[in-house]
Amino acid sequence: MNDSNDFERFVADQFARERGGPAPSDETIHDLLTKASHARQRPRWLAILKEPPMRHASRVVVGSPTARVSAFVAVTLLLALSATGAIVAGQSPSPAPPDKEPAPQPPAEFTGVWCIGPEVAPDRNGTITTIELGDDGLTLTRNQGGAWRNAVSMSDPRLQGDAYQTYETDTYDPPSIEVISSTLSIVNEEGAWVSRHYSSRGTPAGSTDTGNVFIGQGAYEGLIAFMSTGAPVLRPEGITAEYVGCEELQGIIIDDAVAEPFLP
Amino acid sequence: MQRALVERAKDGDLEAFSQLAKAAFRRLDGVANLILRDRDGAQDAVQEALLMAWRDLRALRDPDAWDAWLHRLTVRACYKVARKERRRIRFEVHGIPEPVSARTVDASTDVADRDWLRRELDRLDVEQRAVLVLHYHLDLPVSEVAEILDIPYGTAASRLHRGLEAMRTSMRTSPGAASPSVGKRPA
Repeated sequence: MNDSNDFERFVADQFARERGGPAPSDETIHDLLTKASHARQRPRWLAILKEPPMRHASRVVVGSPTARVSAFVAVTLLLALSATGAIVAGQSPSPAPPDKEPAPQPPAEFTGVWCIGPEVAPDRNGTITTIELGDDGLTLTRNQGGAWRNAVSMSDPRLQGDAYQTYETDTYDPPSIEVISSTLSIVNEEGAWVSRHYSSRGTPAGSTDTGNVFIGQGAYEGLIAFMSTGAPVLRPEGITAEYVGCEELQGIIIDDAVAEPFLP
Repeated sequence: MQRALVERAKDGDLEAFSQLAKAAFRRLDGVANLILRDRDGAQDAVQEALLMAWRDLRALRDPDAWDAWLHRLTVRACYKVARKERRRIRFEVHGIPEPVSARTVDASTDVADRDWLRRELDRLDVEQRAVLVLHYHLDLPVSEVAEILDIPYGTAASRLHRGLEAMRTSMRTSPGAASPSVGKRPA
């Protein structure tokens, strides 16, 4: 067994030993229940609007994304207006679609393992730049994240390659709104797969996340891989000890037959 | 059993909620304690999380997601307590931190290992701690940690890796710090 595995196991063991702390005192529970008895439960419609949506195993289990739909509709309308503006400004219309499009292919299922690895851009990571935004004391703190090399072992050779992840954070303070952007990617000789994620904290909009949707590039242009991760697994053979936190994953690759959005 | 209690609590049954709160309190307290590294702050965070759960319980569509949702509320409450604490610290003058005791540099004991974990957690930011605690303390996969924290999978994985790396680096580069008994299985 090597140091890397030993260290992770040691950390896991230490966390495990912190379980089973003291039971709450009667006074603590009594205090909580007294407060709860004075706090009225919100009606369902209000609770669903107020509580940020939460997904669990790809299902919405808390709240509703409805509030975010409003924002999405607004953005779509803005895009529609922009497109209209561009046409009015005399831009040439997009080329006519070809007479005959290739027939969509059935989805190809795959399974695999994804492990987290060492940092590849340590100089960049942790560079913090603070920018004053006007005279009101509002600041933007730009925290450059790093890039990490990951390792994948996939059943579909198109998804086999060098995997990477990156991570950046912008914080607007006050009121402490955090915008997080990150990517996961797989690169090989033929092309690449890139998944982009955006999320926010401290805003009513909550998280805006595309999930693990990998867009194909190069030879894979026109393909989309939908991926979901599952239970932790042991590091497979062929992946070296510098990679930790391995998880199984599964998904499908489809060709780019997703319907274009309708803009009335 | 728990599912039925959640359904009853959703209907305003305080007794059912009381049973749910008692069952979860110790676990949530452990999580908050490790994230905040502050006993009083942790108790406040758990109280707030459970009160939020009671107030917004009708937003919970799937009673089986009760635990996951409680974890989210607890972490959120921890972030709130941590933010308040940061603001307070800005305006307060702190004394000299207590030096690491001789006991904690005794790397051969389990106590030293535990002190080592707590000291290393103190060095991490609260977001990194949250990921490590949910993944290793509650034994949740990174994908579920990401869902609970409402962050992308990649972000959760990054924080986990950075946290582990920071701990490992600290162990390698701090000759005076306790060296945990890596590789030694606990008794």
